[in-house]
Amino acid sequence: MKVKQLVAVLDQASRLSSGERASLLKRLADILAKLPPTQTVAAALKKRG
Amino acid sequence: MKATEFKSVLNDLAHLFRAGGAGSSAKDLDILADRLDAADNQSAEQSLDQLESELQVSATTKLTPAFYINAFKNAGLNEASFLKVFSTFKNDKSIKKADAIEVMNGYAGQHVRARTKAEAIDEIERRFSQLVYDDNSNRQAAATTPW
Repeated sequence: MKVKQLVAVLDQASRLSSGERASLLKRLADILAKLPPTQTVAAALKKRG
Repeated sequence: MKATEFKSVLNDLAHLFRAGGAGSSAKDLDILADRLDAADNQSAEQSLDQLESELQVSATTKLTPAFYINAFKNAGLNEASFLKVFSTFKNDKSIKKADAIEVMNGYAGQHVRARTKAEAIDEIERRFSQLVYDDNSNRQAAATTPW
């Protein structure tokens, strides 16, 4: 899965949720949206160092 | 919400994808949940702050003193968070003596004398220990009855 697809999933999940859960999911989507969108999730989230 | 609860939310989403036959998407959501640090009863917000810092660390080649000052302040009294930022800072070859002193002063919130980069790094560690010590002392003082 590419980063942009995961961002879309989290955005959608945020819209279907409510309260704190929705805002946390949105925040997570916003954080991931700063990563290269076409990179795979596994590569983008791989720990470095 | 605690970070552990938020991780469960992500794991639940992964289960939904897995049940729908989207195994690889589920796996990616599991990877994401694994990246969230849920140590020491951390809140989900703190956990997301930490993830954001780590991803910025990954994506940026040269980190600015302002980034480190923010990251140290965001770590607060959480030792695990502090050590992660501290380790990155300590091993960051792009940080020169002047940068290290700027980070030290920014974190301490006052001008502290340091002659070398190593001294500035030590001072940051000492400052964190002092903050934790003060917090513990304040807690003990608050819990003590006067008579």
